[in-house]
Amino acid sequence: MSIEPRHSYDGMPLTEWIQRVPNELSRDAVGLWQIIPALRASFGLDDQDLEDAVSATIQGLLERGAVPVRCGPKDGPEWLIDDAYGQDWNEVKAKVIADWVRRDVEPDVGDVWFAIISDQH
Amino acid sequence: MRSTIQTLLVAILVLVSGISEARWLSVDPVKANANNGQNNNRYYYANNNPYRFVDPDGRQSAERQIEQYRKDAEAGNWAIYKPFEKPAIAVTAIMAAPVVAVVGWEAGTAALANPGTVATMTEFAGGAAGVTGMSSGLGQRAQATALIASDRTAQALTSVLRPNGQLVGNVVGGATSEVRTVSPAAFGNIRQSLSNLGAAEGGGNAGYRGTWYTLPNGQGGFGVRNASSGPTMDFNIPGLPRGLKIHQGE
Repeated sequence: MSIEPRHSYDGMPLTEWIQRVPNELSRDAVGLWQIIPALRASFGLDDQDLEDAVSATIQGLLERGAVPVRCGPKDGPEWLIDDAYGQDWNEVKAKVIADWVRRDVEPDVGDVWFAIISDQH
Repeated sequence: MRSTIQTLLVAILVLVSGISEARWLSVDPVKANANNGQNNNRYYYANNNPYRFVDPDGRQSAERQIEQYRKDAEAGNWAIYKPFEKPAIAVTAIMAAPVVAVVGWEAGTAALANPGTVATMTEFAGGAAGVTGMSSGLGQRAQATALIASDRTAQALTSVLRPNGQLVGNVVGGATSEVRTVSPAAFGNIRQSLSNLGAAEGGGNAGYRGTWYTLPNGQGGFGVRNASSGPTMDFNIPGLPRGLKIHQGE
């Protein structure tokens, strides 16, 4: 029987952390730069476990109504929808993860975020 | 964890004084605190509580030093610590060998904030105390001084963003622990404290909507932007939870 990973800071179980991530959407977008480094560093995930957790986290964000976005220009909308990842949720998850794996670098704040877009776009 | 020099000093105190309650034989130059009376008896060692406090150079117990260091770090008052970076003679008459007092002092401070430095600091403290010879100790001093300098930014960041071991602010709205919310005043203080550390605008995060700042000494960086919910800071700082974000709340 495997033991569920817990957050190194507050001991939160991984499943609860993944469920909580979308709660941020009511205030702000969630960046891939927040998701992957936290899962890797705070939960000690790597390889397939990390990819599975990233996928589950993105799934939760999509279910809450978020879409992939990029930062908008300083004099324009806050977020711009990034159509490069497609529309289908499985396609979005697969492309985001494939893009991250291909680049082989930790995402930063200039990379893809997930936001709920109302009428600003 | 007590360093070699600290252990040695305590042992000498007990042996020379011959009493169960270890005391220094010369007066502590740090005067009593007029507000709370702390250090009123300037002959005692480590608040008479060596299990909780350390007093590496006989001037002030480590716990209080660290608190003062934290306040000075927040205010950017590094200059007042410059005199302590020079070799000094131990304040106690019983110490025949010269001791680089600051090393013990700084080692305790740095070790508490960054346990990864303990081995290096302890090794150097032993050398400076004459255990391995002064020439070796002086060589190690330069090494330790460089380590201390690079560690100061990390210590200051920790004191600003994770005081008392807890991340600043609160978790609001069922967010994860990496997403914090602080008062407008606290938000301003954090931003000012980070600026005082020498954060420089820029850092290669093309596409970021806000302004990104890079911290000195390889300590990562942070961004400031106006989110729809209000001012927000995004952090990428080693040693702090990854994905850390701070919102300005009500």
